[in-house]
Amino acid sequence: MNYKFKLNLQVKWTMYIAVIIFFTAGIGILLFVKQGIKDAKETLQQKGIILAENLAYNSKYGVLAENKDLLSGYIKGIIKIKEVSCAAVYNSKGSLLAYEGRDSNDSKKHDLSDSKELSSIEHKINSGSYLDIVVPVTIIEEQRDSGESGLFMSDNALVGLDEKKEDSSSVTLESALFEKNIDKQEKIIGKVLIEMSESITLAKIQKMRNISILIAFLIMMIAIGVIILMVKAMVKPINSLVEATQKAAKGDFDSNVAVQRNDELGMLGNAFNAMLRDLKITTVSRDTLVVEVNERKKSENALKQSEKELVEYSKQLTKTNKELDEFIHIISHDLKEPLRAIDAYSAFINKDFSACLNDDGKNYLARIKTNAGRVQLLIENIYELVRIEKNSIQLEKTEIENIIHESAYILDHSIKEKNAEIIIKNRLPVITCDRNGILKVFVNLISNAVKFSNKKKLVIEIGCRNHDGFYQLYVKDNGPGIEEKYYDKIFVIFQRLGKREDFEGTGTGLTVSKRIIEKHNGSIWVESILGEGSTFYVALPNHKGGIQ
Amino acid sequence: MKKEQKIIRLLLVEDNPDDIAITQRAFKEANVINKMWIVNDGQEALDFLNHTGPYEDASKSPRPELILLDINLPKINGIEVLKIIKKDEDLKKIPTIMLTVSKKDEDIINSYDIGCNSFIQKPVEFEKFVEAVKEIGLYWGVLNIEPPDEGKK
Repeated sequence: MNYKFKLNLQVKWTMYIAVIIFFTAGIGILLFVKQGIKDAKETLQQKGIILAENLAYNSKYGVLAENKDLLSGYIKGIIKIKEVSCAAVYNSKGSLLAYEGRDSNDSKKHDLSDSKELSSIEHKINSGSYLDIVVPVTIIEEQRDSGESGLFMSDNALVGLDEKKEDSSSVTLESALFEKNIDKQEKIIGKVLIEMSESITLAKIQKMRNISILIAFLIMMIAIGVIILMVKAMVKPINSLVEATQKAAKGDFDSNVAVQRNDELGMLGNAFNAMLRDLKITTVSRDTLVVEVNERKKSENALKQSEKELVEYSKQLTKTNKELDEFIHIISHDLKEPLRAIDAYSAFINKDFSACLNDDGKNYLARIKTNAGRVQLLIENIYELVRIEKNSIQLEKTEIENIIHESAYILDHSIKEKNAEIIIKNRLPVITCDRNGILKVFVNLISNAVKFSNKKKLVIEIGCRNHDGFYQLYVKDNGPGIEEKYYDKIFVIFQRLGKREDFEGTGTGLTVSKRIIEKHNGSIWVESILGEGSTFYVALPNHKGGIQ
Repeated sequence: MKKEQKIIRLLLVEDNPDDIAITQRAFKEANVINKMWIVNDGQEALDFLNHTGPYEDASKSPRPELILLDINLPKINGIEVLKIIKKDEDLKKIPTIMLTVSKKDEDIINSYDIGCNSFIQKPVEFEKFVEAVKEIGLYWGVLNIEPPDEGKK
């Protein structure tokens, strides 16, 4: 799309149109000149025939009388006409009676004495720059009226030759006359010859041709000028279209094509302007889109990055979890083995050497055993806590009443020991929960109640109430009760309440219970009156969806 | 009960000398009549069972009727030993009890997957362990019926 293209288009169009004009004009001039020559020749011939006929008519008496002077006079008159180069009159034998010509040497050439054609009644046209017209001089032999009238009748007929058929009405008249006199005997008494010079006519034609060529050339020049202007005018909107397109291609949509036309180019310009407007709008929205897409890509990348980080983090977490698990396991295992040995060897001493031991010795052994047991419980509870944190809960429909019965069965020994009674206050629900977890919770709560009981008759009341979308299960005892400041602390790992001697256990039972309940999206808390007893509440969602 | 009880040929795979002492004493106190061979690692256990290495003399390494297999073992751990035993067309018929201090979920699942016959956690308290051994003796020595002789080679 450079400037050459524009020039090319203009030049091309101009050249095409000019070539067409040249051809048309050339052919036109050629045909015109040809027709001109033909017409001129015919006119010349016509003129010659008329002259010859006149001469033949006028020469009748001269020929009959063989009056050469008279004939010469006629001929001299004729020769004055420009186109006539020479004229001659012959008798019937072909001998020259009179001759006049522009070139006197020419007379021999026109000597028709030897010619056999003398008797024939036609005229001859020589090709070349001269035109010879031969007309016979005739008289009528049989005369009905006077000789004059006969003569008058006789001299027309021979002129109407084949070439003249298309000619004017005069020919028709002559033919008619000829028809009328057809039975009459004609007698050729001589011949006239007129030679017409074509050169003058041709020179005229030449001149005319030159003039017409000149005119045609001028017209052509003007035409080409006009064409150039027209093509320029036609190419101009195309050029501005090209320019606008080039600008648009570079992103400039503000340049419109000037449209001042009603034709297809005008329509094209209008269409182009409309297209530019649309393109501008589209481009604007496209630009916005590009910005948006880029932003999206950015955030997508950021998302991918954070996703990657998340995966990495998750991997790290899994690894850490596994390591922690391994660590806890190793600790519990490695601590338990020596603990087993301590317990076992204490037992061996007690059995094998009991006779050697006094009461103090036996007491010490018992203390070793008790402490080993404590450590073991600690280890097991820590292990349990880790297990709860690590494992997800397994939901199943669980009858809470069954759980209570099972807990009582597990704790049967200590319940009997403490003379405890378990009362189920009202109908207990069926809850979708982690059965083993919830069982652990109730074993913990009941065992705590039993463990810390200081009454002669321990009563443990278990019931349920519906509250705000939760089942509120409770375990109520008539034990020593808990001070309010410890309500929260008892659920924290390894918290000890009061004096060491007052309590057994490790302090992890409630922590484990709390974690289990929290995993159910529930809650656990305590309400208590000192000296009268404590009530532990376990709230679990009473709809499936509330449980994780 | 004593009359019904026969001598159980036991193979104890255990590396800890304390554990060996405790187990031996527990069997004694539980009154489980037994003949116990003791090997200290996984490789030794396999040598014993296959009569290879130091146990080429088959008369010194009779086929046991029960294997007590610890998991934390040097060289080849208990799970791997179990795997090899249970892949062996002959040895897999010998009841194998996993006997370990810790109960790791992964170990329990793996052991049963491979085909252990029982998984028992050794209690920390000696008295409880004696109780457990009594029950092992009762169950595997009296109650359980072992495969007939033609199963053995």
